[in-house]
Amino acid sequence: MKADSLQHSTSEPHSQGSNTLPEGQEVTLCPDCDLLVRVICLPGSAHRQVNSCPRCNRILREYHPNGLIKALSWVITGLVLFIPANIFPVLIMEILGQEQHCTIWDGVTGLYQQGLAGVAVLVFILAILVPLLRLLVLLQVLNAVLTGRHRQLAKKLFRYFLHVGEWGMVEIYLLGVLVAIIKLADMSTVHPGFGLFCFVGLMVAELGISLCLDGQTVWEQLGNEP
Amino acid sequence: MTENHLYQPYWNTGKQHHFKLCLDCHQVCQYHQRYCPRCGARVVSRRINSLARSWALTLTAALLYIPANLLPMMTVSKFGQGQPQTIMSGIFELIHQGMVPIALLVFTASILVPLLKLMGMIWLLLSVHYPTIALHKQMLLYRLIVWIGRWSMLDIFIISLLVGLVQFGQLGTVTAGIGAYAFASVVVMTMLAAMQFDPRLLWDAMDKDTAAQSDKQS
Repeated sequence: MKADSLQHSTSEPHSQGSNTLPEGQEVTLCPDCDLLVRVICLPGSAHRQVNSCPRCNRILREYHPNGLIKALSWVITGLVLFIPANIFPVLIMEILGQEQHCTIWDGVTGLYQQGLAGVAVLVFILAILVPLLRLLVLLQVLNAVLTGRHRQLAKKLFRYFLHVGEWGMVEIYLLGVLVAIIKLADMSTVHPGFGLFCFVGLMVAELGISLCLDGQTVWEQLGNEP
Repeated sequence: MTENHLYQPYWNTGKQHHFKLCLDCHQVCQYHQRYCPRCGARVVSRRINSLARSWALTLTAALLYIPANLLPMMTVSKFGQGQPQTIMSGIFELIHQGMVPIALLVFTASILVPLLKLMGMIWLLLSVHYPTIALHKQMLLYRLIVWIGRWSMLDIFIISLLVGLVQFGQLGTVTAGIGAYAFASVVVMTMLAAMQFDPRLLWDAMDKDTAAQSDKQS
């Protein structure tokens, strides 16, 4: 639904930029077009509600019933799947009886050994480090929201989470695995390994988190002083 | 801020009413507050040096795009023979082997998407100086650029996987080439350029333009 844009009628004289908010209204600014809007929430609804900016259609807030608990369960799922996804091989290739296993970490070390250190570090950050950090930070933050302890640390961490979160590329890595399988299919036999299924599970967990976590709800919970 | 009594803006913006938004926690702050009261981040009305940073990153990425396409990305060698492959030659190789959908995917991710991002960012950056009426299309383009940017990393991940997997000595070996460095830099820089760009500047430019035009008419 569209948030209310607090437009003044054209018959009123234009006031000289007031510094005070209208009383008792929850107003916010649109991050994409700087519009002053009032967000609307129908309380007690069992369905997901979304508020979007009336001028530029950017999503401002989402209201998920039980969103935080759902997000926590996805985070735990993701963390459980993360370790096997990185330990077990993602692809197994066979030529004339010789077998080669490849985990994500093997791809990184392979690039490093061939002299492309920068690209190796980049792949490590994008495919291993950032997904792990996202999950760990969310674990701490959701724990802080639900139990009310360690809020200062959670605030600091959650700030970085929102920025760093854009650099997680698990689903693109999986598409790359798919393309690699097809590319190598005529050269030899390639099997998916157990690590690949765990990695797909990790992607599903990240998807679940993005569907039911709203940053604004978390900030409101964190920001309330006891 | 000059006050023009004939121009009454239809929309209320934060800048008019001396509010600014914390970019981390989206808390509305007063103009004079340097740090957000809720999350402690530094609050600015518009991203610092948004235009300068975005221009610099976009132009550097555009320059790096040339070596990314000319230098080889990887070499597949069997029995000691192998041709270094650039992005385009890799795509032609895939077409020759009959894998046309994959070739199209790699072409889209490695050539079309970076070109779209570069040209799109340049258009958006120019529009801040020369406002056009296509603001909603520009917002759509901006959001598309932000979302689609990461998918260009596909080729880098494919190379990483092949390098880790195909190490059979004489039977088949994949070595990565220096073009991967240039291409990875292009992708990272275009992502950063889109993140540093502040779309509110487009709306500011449009408001200023409308005010100037109604000034002229009065």
